[in-house]
Amino acid sequence: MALLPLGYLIVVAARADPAVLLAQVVRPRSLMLLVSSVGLAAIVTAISVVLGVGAAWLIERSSLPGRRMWGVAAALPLAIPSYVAAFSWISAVPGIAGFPGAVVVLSLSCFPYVFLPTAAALRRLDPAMEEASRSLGIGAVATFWRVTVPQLRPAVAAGALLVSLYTLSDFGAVSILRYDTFTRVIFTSFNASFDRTPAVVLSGMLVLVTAVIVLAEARTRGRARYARLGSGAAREPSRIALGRMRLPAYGALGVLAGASLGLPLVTMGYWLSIGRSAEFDLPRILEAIGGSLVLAGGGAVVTMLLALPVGLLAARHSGRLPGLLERATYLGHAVPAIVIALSLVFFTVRYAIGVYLSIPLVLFAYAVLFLPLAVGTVRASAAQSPPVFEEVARSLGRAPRQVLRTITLPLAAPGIAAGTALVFLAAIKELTATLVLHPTGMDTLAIQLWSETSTRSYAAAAPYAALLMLVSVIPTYLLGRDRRRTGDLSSPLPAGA
Amino acid sequence: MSELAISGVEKSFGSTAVLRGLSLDVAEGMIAAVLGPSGCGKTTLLRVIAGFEVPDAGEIRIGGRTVASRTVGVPPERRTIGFVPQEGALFPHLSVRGNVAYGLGRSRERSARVLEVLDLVDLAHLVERMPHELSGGQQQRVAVARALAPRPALVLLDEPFSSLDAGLRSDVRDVVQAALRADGATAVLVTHDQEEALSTADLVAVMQHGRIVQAADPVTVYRAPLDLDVAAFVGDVIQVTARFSGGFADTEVGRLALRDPRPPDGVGVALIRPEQFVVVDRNGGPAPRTDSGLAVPATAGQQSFLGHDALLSVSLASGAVVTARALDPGPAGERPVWLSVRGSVNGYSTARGKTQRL
Repeated sequence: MALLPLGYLIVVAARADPAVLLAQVVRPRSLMLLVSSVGLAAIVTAISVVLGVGAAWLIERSSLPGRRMWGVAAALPLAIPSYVAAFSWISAVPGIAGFPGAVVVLSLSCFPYVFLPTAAALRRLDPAMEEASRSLGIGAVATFWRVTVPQLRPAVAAGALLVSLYTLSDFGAVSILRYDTFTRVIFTSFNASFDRTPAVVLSGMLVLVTAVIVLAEARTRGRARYARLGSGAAREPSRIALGRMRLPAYGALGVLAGASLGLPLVTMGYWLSIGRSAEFDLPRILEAIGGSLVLAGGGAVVTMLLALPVGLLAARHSGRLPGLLERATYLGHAVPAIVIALSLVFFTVRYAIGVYLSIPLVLFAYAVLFLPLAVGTVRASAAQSPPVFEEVARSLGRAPRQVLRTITLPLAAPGIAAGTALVFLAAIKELTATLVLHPTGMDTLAIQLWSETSTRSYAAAAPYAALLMLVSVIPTYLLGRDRRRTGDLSSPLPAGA
Repeated sequence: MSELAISGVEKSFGSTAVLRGLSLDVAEGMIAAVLGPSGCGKTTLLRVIAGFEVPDAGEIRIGGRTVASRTVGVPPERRTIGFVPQEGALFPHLSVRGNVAYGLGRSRERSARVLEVLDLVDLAHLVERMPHELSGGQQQRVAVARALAPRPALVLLDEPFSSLDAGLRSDVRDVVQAALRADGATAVLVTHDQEEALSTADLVAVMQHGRIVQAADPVTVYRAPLDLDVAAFVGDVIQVTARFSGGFADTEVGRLALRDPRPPDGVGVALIRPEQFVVVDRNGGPAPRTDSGLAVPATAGQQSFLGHDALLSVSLASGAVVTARALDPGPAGERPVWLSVRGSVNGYSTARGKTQRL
């Protein structure tokens, strides 16, 4: 089921005239898009690695006070949807539109992807390794490069992969900042004409680019072998006194937090205070809230229902079929939302016109997008109840189905509830698929923010941005408090790709 | 009629053969202990009996009914067994009552039975507690009560006491043993602790390399182990070379009476338990007469004090060193002693390359 959209895309592409397809691919415009998208992804990834590793080192390894607070501040930008960040930047600095804006906004939104795993790796690193190096006569700086950095490489690489995938699939930020990448052009060409070929070709190219990146990352990882990082070093690593560098370090982190968190908050406050009475359309806001609740709530329930069997199967059986099933659901993760949305449009127009632009279609799209998130939590929570419980229950005369009902599900329930909440939060922030697939006349917070920002009515957009910030940041902070410690990136998902 | 009958069971994981034609019979009402070193396949055996694993070959019958064979595979829930896993594994979301009642149907006597089995393990007063509010030993006892509640034909216990500390262990073991006996349950427990096996079970089955090499009552297994491997596994042994003739073994430590089954006359190894040695001070007098003829002169050396008794190294004239268990090891340091052996010993024709344990 998760494969359906992608499969359909391939079918459509295969049926088209190869000459036409080729003509589309080699059009200068397509090649330019390739350069602009990949270039943006490369630059954003590079900046994110610098920001993420730097922040991780300062926070974990230097004598900087207030480590906990800085840690939270450096992780939080992940929760703010990139299109909300884009709104705050373009409304504050209109001149930033285009490439510079895209680089700034996406780098500030994405660097936590590198920061979180790197900080976690730094924490897990056994200080004895560095001490051994020092005792062998290697200086502190040389030890950092020769012992610490190689240990961090897998974490940094994993983070960088996420950043580049996120940047390639991001639609909200680049479209608000008016910078043409694959996603934005796919959307406009789909909106503008009935000829679906350009959109399909561009989608295919985008999917290919992401596939190449994923494969390349998998290959480099396959060759390198890293011993498992020691589980929880007993001792605190020694922290490096910053001395005179203390003030600059503070300044750097301060600027980073200010740009990624402070600026959105300040702009939002400014627009809210300006536009108070004149432009707030309360009924519309309420309607958007209602739409968001219906779609996100329904999406969360549907996704979780679909995820339950896959997750339970994957947690209990390590056979080939469950593994394959689980991996298939992860495809939704790697394929950009715009591609999934578009393929659903094509599919329903042709085979199921009845559900075209209907609520069930949006829910289905959410299910495809967020299945990995839901399967992950189900799997993790099912792993909370070791198989021995089920064996004991079987030995006490209960059939497998009763065991599932009386033992496995009750034990997994808290995790399943948390997973549903996570999907709900991810869905309420989702912009791309919602924008393409939502029923005519139905509005959500994300759609309203996007359309008001597109027409540059920033004051009118502010309440939606504020509400989205609220639902993004607070629950993420609560849910992520202990997740942050382990550097688990499986959730919450990138906001509103 | 035996309650549990296992014949020729085989089980491999990939290319590793874990059970190799294992057979074992346990009579009704007996507590059997399967004793073996870690990794010998004990837990796999238990899981095959319970039905969590399917044997590759062989047959298992519980209470006369075939539950596993080439053609039959009864699922675990229909085998009328009770299973007590290693750490108890109480369902964390259910109270003690909920746990114990889990295997009981909706019968009227349900709550009476819950209290009855909890009473057997002395925990009836904790019926409303949640598992995390219990100590390790209490959890283990509730797990036993839970397994007993549906009156299973067979209770299986996987290293039930190994997760408890030493002091608690014997208390819990006594309570569980009493509960099993009071309920007339047939039980199979697996353990790597020989003391636990010898003290708890009616039948000790020594398992090695995927087979039961000897199954007998604890005294027989200890006093008349089938071979030197079994002997060494169920307790410390001293091996001395011997010449067998006419029911006696002539050895460096004297002429020792042989137990049945006697080895054929000739050369072999006599097996002595450390507690059979008698050590008395030697100060000039003639050698005392003992069970094993005249005591032999030796030198007592290093001691390791164990509290209830002590181990004492004794060097023989030949230079060989044996270990004696003594209630009172005497003064520290080397001193001349007379060494003799109390009671009869086992003789084996070949030593199979085993060296003396000290």
